[in-house]
Amino acid sequence: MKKGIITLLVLSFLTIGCIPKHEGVQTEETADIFPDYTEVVIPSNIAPLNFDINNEGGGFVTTISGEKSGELTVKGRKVRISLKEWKSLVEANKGADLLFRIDLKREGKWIRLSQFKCHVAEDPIDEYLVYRLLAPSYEFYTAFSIRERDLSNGKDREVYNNRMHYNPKEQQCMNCHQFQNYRTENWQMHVRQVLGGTVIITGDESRKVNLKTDSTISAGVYPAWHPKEKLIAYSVNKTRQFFHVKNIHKLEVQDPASDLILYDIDRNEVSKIADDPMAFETFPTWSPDGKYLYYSSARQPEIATLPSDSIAICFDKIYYDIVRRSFNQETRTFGDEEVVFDAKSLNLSAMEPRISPDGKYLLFSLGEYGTFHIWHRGSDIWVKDLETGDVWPLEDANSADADSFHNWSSNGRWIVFTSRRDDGLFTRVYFSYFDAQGKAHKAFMLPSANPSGKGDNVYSYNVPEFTIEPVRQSVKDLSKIISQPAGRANFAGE
Amino acid sequence: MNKKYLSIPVYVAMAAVLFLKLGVVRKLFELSLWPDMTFYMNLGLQPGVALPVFGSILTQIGGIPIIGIILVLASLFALTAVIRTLHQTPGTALIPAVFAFLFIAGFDYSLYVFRAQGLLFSQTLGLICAALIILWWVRSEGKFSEILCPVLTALAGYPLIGAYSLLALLGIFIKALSRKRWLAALLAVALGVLVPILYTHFVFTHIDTRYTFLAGLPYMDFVDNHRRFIPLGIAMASVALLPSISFKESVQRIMSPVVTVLLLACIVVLSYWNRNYHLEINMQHAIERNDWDKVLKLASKSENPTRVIVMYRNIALLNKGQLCDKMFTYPNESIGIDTPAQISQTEVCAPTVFFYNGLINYSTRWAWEMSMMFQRTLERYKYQAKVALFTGKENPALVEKYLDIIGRNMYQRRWVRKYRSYLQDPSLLVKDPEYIMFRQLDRFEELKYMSSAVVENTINNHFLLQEHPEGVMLDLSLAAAMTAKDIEMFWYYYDMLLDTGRRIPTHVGEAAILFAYIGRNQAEIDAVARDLGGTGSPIVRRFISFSSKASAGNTGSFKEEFGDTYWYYSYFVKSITTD
Repeated sequence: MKKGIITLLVLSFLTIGCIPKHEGVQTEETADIFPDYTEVVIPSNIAPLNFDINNEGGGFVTTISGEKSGELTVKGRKVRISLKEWKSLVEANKGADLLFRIDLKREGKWIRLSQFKCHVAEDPIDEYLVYRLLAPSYEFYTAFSIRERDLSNGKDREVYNNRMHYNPKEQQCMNCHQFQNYRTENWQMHVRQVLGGTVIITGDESRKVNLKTDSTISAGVYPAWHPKEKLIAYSVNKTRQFFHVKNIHKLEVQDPASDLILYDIDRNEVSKIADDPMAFETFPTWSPDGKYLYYSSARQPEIATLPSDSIAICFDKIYYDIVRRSFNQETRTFGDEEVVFDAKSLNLSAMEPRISPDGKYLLFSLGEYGTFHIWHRGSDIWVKDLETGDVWPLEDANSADADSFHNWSSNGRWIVFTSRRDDGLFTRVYFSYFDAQGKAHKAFMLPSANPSGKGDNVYSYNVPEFTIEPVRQSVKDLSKIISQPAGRANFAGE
Repeated sequence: MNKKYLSIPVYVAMAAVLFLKLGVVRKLFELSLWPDMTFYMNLGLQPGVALPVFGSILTQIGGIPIIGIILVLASLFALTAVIRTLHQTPGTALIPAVFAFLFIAGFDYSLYVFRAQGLLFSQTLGLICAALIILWWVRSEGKFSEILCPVLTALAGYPLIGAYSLLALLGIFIKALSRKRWLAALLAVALGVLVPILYTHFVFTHIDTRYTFLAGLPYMDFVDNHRRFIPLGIAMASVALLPSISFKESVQRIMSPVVTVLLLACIVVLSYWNRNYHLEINMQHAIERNDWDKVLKLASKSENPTRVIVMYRNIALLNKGQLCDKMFTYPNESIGIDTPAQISQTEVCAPTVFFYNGLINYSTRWAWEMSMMFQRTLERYKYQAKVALFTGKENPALVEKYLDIIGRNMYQRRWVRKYRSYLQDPSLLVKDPEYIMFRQLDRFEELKYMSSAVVENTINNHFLLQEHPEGVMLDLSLAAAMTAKDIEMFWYYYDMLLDTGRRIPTHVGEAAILFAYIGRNQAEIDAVARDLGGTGSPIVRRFISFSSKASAGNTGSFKEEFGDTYWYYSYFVKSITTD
């Protein structure tokens, strides 16, 4: 009797530990999963692609088989994959496909949905992504953070949060974190309002500096680290927002004035790069060799001859081109402006130029007008081949909603960008594989432990920046730097 | 009175106050959501996290005000019960519960700007936990657990209940001193100081260390309104002190009834009773149920209404088709809200007022701004959901997302079913009264620039900028011109009104004859008089009486005689200021 009970217990334990195989009747029904990971190309070092199944039914069993070898099975509507099993499966299938089979029980019978696949690229993605997490608010905010995601295992940690110096009477904003050459040795971020200033970290040294001088229109805004020198190009912007009464875009962000400056970290010195009063220069970025500075530039619309208020009236007539200037590293001087992509002639606006690490491609977001395309539903990501001059949209990666704020991985094979495709408001991070032929493949959402598309996640992810190593400072380290008073930058020639 | 029954009048009084504040209780429940775990996981796990989480859960369970009131009273009763086992005097044992209650009953306009979640229950729960820990220590005196209790309180209590674990350690310290348990006293004080510092140094590295010893308390809400937290401070102090205080039987006999009477007086006097505040909350509820008669009935109860009440009343009048007939029959002064809290009238009412005036982008904007600045609430999500649905251009997934969040509250399932059915079958949406009104208010061209910082100015400017308003839009444009005393725009809209052939509303007639009179243009006066039905019309006859008294400087009885006219507003109400 006793033996029988023990045997029964052991058998029960073994049965519970295994997931029974279900050979459902094959159907044409496609898998409705969130996030949509069907037919995407993924890096071999990515964290598990957890997803939820939305098809009607019960008793879900998902089997993921490698084209070369290996298989794993997950039970349930919420497909949560073990990191260890996933890693070995993906590693074994580099350059091959992963086949996803979903069996589900409906009206007492098992059926099998149409199989879908993911292709595992040979090219890895940079291990870390640093991004900002906040609710999609407009002017006010209380709590948000800059965070770091380990893309290989999904671990997420806080880099800094704005409650570290909580002040009930004044908000603290931080933005524009940026790293030199994908490394975290040299990087910067801005802090606005409470304890405002630009935090610049160079190796073991750090400083907080106020980049506003009497000769420039604001402190530094959008940054671009020179790839080789301790130099940061910034746009300086007078930015304002206004709210549409009924326009679906809801919000317009405008720069009634903007110029470019160069900050020499060693000299603590700001100099001007471009300050044409009739032009709006913004979103600088360096070519990987550091010989060119690319940026977006728009001319003041003719109907708005100067008073900056009139810019609001003609907000939909402001078109930015992508332009560039050569840079002489010896003399630290810039050449004349030359147009790289003429968006104005198309009555379109091109923002956020980013040059691929091999220097061959220019990536930018293209919208109907203005800056800040994340608020423009028609905004898409485009690419220009700088050798042939060909320009094309990333058709398979773009969506019907706003796609913007993109960056290249350090090997130039992955593009990260933000998109509002899921619900039109909450911005999510997407990745797309950019192959050697210049084709961007279907984009997939940043994997996460609980990727529910419903009420759980009401935050937006923005400013995604790849790094190849973790940020070296803790929240407390940054808090200490931020609590220091900001030193003043000098203006060259003063 | 038998000392056993001393607590009865106190609980009856607290229940009565809560019933009188039923609207506020309902509002407090609508200000809450199921605990947003992503908030805690993504944006920082704080010491004391169990209190807002369980506070929010209890708030959700009490979604019906009566159940909510019972839950509040039950939590206070539990606090008294624990204290009563530690402290023998029945009257004084009521102090923590009464002051915890007064913390809640003292909520004023600041409830619109609470940052702390689950505040209705979280602090009472903290007090109960602290009292229970002290009780555990008292019962374990002389045993090993006398040492274990403070150690566990510090190590496990601080992450879960934050400052309330420190309150328990303080209580243990005082009690240990009184019993000369020197080691326990020393341990309690050492742990109370060191453990929070170590936790914030090694575990909670992402929190502002200035608030190490305040974790779990609503310190983010201690802004310019400190007196609101005095009752909570008293409740905390009494939990720490009462277990170590005892009175002789003879003193108890006198003290208990005296303290009970004093506490009863405190319950009545220290609760927040501002009439406009309670009316605004009830009016908003009635607006959201489209009960326009109730809105007007509530408005009539205020003699000195705030601008919020005036705007709410105007929404009801608009929906009853009486805006330009009755809007100036009501006091129209620039009465502000009575609170030391940093809060504007715009923050109190913007999502509601913008929504019911058809400026739904601004409604959703303010709902988000308030959610971000303070906290996400059921009420704010409802506006987000309705706006996303009404625009028809938003992604249905966004509406679903909001409905999913709202639907987690078991009492909101019917509301969610209604709006989900609109999403699934748009033919149902077009029959929705709010949507029908919205479609009438949405007939305007995009304006390219307008500030939405102050709700009343924005609405008036919006309707004054309309070039071709029709129907209710024309009523609102006329109302805006009259409110702003903008004579030029008034005549512009007045001519449009005449072109429609519609009846001239009372205030429009009053404004027309007044502005014609001010212009000293006899032909215009005659024309207006004709529009109003000739010199025998009630408006013209009344205006003659008004103007003759005004000419004679006989203005003493103007308010009684003409307080319900536009003339009174035009002459005696200075330009309206709202914030």
